Amino acid sequence: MAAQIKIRGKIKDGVAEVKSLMPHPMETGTRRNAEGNIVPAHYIQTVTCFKNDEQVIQAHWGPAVSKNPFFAFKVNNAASGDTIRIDWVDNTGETSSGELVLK
Amino acid sequence: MERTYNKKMNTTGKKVATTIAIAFVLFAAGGAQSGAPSTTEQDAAAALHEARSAYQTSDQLGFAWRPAKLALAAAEAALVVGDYAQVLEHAAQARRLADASIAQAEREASAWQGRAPFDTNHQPRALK
Amino acid sequence: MQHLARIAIAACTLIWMPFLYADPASDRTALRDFYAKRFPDIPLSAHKDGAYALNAGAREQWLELEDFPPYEIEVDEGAELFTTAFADGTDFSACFRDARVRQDFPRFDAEQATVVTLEMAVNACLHDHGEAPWDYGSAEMNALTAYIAFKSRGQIVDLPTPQTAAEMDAYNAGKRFYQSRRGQLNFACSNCHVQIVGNQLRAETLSASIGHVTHWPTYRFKWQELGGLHLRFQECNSQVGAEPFQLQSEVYRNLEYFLTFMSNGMQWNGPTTRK
Repeated sequence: MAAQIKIRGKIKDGVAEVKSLMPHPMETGTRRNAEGNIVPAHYIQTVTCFKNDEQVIQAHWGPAVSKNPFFAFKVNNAASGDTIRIDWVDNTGETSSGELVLK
Repeated sequence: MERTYNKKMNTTGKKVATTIAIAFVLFAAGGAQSGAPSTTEQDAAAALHEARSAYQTSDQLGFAWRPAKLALAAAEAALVVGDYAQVLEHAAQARRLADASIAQAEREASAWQGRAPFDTNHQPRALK
Repeated sequence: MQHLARIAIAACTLIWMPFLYADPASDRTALRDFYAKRFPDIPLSAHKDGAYALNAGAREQWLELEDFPPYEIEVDEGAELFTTAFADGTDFSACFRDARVRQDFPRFDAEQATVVTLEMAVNACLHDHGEAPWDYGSAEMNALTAYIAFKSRGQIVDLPTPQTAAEMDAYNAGKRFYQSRRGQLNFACSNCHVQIVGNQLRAETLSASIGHVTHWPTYRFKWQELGGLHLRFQECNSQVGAEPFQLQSEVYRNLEYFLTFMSNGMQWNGPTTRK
């Protein structure tokens, strides 16, 4: 599994405000290295977010997203003790995940 | 009394014209000497050398300009492929820019003092 | 030959310069007074945040970013590097204690007769413990200096006043660089950061020079990664058409020395994010 996703979040009036930082090179596949060879495409393709067992977001990303993406979102009807989980899968099949228990 | 103008050249005029024509031919012939290296290649190499020397001076003074470096590189690239006209053009540009940067270095050697917000008690440098 | 004569003339004018220099303390006062007058509603300490002290909208966005900043990843990498063992079994704590050492740099080293920056000290530490030095612009160097900067937050810039002849030479070289016009655009550092400070150059608000050195390395969104103060010097020089100097060259170290003294009393607040 790739580098852990960092997650922070707090509940405000029943709405969870979640911020995440995902270490990932997000290579577009169009850059060339010093030797002049193409650096292969390596980017997150799908991001899925869960509140407990309920999928709340599914995002489809591509090479336009920058390196080490920052991703923030809000989830309704959040309560203390709920678990927010974020998963991603990239174009090489690599995956990572991160979890946060809301206070 | 109306003056009549001669439409034809008189003898003296013909002598002068012939002398000038012969002189021109001699000069032209002298300039078009064949044999390696050709004048343009010599000129190109000389111009490049001067430009490089000027750039190096600006670099030693700590005032090298990026556009001068780029023009110099373009001149050197043109020399490699033998495009002497381009060498002269880029070298001339590099030389102009390098000379300007050297002038900047000379000005700034003293001009930097007495500028706000420091040392404002110094007398401002008199403008030329 | 003409060029040699010109170098000689430029060099000769330098010889007489030391007798005309003001002292560093009054330079710093003059600069601080200038910014206090130029920005009467902004406390001088706020300039550690650069342009974000001058632009409320940008500041709001920046504070939100700093809540969960992108450099956190690199600071974590730096923390790991700090405790990774060297060839001889020690690690960076042998040179930098608990990493709360940002305040110790730059400093003038009398023995080496030069300004020693944090990056130089990192490589000296590596060398002293049997390791190869790192490239000054490398990811490791940025990560480790980011970690040290992070741990040192809240320390105060406290550079001893230049006093010896060698220290004054370094200080004056830095000051001279700051005040000299350079590049095809003929800009001096002071043109943007003193004369037209607070105004915009293209889309950027020009920040005050006090507080310039406090927040490095910086994560620039333009770079998509961390970069050091000297990288920013290189960028600024390039932008005015001047050929930049090497990272950690004597020219830039002297400039850093001068600017750090100007920032005495400000808070060390690195690393940070910038546009």
